[in-house]
Amino acid sequence: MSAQSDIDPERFGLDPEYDYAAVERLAMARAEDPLGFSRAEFLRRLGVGVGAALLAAAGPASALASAGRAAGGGGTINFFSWQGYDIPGIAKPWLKRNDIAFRARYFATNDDIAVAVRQGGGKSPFNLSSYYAGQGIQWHDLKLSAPIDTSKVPNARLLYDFLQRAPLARWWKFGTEWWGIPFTFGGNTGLYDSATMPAPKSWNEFLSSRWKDRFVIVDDSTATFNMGAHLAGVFNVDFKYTPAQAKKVFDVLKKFKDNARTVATYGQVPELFASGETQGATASWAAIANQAAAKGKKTIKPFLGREGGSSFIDVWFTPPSDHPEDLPAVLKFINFSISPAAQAHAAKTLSGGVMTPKAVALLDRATKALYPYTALPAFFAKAPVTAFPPTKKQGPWITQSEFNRLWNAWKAS
Amino acid sequence: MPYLLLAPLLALLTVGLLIPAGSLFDQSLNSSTAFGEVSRRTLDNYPRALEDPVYREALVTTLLLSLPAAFLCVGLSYPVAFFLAFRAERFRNLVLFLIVISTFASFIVRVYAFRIILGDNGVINQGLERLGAIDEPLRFLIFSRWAVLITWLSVFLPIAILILTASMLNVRADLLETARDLGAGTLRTFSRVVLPLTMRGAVGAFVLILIFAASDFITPDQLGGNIQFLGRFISDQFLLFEGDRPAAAALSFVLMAVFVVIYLALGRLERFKGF
Repeated sequence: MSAQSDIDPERFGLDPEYDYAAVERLAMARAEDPLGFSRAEFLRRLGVGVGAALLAAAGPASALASAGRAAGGGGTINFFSWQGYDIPGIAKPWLKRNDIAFRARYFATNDDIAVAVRQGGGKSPFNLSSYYAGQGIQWHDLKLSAPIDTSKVPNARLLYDFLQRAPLARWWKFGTEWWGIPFTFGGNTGLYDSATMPAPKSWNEFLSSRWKDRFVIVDDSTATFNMGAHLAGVFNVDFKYTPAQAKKVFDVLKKFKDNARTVATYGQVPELFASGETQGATASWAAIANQAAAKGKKTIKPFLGREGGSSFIDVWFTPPSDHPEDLPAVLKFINFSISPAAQAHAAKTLSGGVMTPKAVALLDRATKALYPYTALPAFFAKAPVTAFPPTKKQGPWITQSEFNRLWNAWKAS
Repeated sequence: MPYLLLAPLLALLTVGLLIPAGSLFDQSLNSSTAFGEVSRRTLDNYPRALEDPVYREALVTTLLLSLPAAFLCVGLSYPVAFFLAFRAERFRNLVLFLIVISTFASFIVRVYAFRIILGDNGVINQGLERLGAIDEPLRFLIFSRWAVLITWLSVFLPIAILILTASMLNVRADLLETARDLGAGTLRTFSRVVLPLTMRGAVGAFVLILIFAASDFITPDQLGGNIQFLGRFISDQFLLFEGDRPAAAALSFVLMAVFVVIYLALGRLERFKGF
């Protein structure tokens, strides 16, 4: 265990002696507003009514109306994202206080987003959605997202420093423009039952006789392939693989499949841990540890093989909407969702990671233990966000369709 | 005028079957991209369904398990149906009622029940461990073809019994007496009288259970482990982000064509005169 915290970076293959906490303290200090709190907080303390009164004295009635609107009232958010991302437990009272109407629809797959935001000939009925960070460049190129006025999202300055610059920010920042705001992250970490097995240091340990029929592979093509790509020595963060490289990866994964109990869905894995039918899982999702704990199995822990892995970040974006007058409400909600309190709440309810260092202190022990918060930059360097395969043929790289076929063939083998 | 009696059924079939099937067929003529489908009006998905080794293997695996399951269901239900039709007049209705009640439980609940029965810490393994018959759980009981087959038998056997019993009740008891009077033993009476007269019901039960089993994706998903069944494969293609929906739609029709061929082939058995 690291001396700096009760989180053990060793499970994530990170150096326990490096003072990552000092790095983060520095980042937090840089993010601090000179006043000691953000501009949004300053305005709130000053009071909306005082601001509105000043504007009313200075200008016509319409200025009062817009001041009232900009400062807190009105607007409708048409939300389309994963269930839970609307963080109702903490958002409902906030929405009521700010007189913002919130209509939520939830999607089942990432594919639904692209289809939905393209409805209405480029003007989507939804004005707030999220994308998997690895699709950020595609979304930008296809104009499915739009630039965000970060002066209306002041909490963006409180995000981790490494989320505001390359390499990670390339998925949502283009030049100096923000086209997305990162909301939550998760790691495609492996899992093991600490009551019966020692923490694996390498993914290859799953190929040993000790692990025969005692682990599952999760039916997540991207996470599993990324793990295999690290092992095959061909990992590419832009998901550019030749057919020969892809075959090499699937040959590696075949060995895992032959030694595994089964290939299971995310919904099945917590139950398999709880019933004792598995003691481990390859690259999956750290949140499963909490889901298994909810089913009574409190000894499941995430780990990251030393070869590396991948992770995901889900990013808010504002589709070009047919109701642009609601955009201020949308930006207000985004700003609220990345405040420390909302981030801590989201991390607990979604079993995810927080995007702002100030939220870490608000996390409970179990949620904090999911990720190495004292070493997040190193974690993302070891388990980066990757793109999806290209949708159209580009040079020698396999396309999404070709990847799907290879994945299905591997599953059937 | 008599055809007006069919109107409600035709309306239901149109809305519930023809229109969705038409929509699915329309989808099978598209091509798949990562962000959805492109309407290309192509039949390419159909030969691909038969030529692609992944799809072919899934189809073969599915048939290799669902055909025996249907055969076993029909075979095991014959003695039960015979007993109910000719030997259990007094409590036939009670037994039929109990069989019907067993089908009231949700399909998913019954599949999950077998997760509990066959699991490593399930009823069977725990019982055997307590008896000292085994030191470690029998891990092959679950996530295997056996688990799927046992579950299908449990779930579909009541349906086969009900169909065959209805068919068996149409066999006149005096025909059996006549056969015995003419010197036929039990087996000969069964093969030359009962079997031919109930063949239509047996074929109907067989095809129905074959359809249920081959298109089931829940049981293979929960209990089948790594085995790639066609129903599961098709559902994955529709549910997952990276799914190939047009190909899955085409596979659905290929599977339906297989059922039609099997049904037509088995239809010849209705002229079966016995062994």
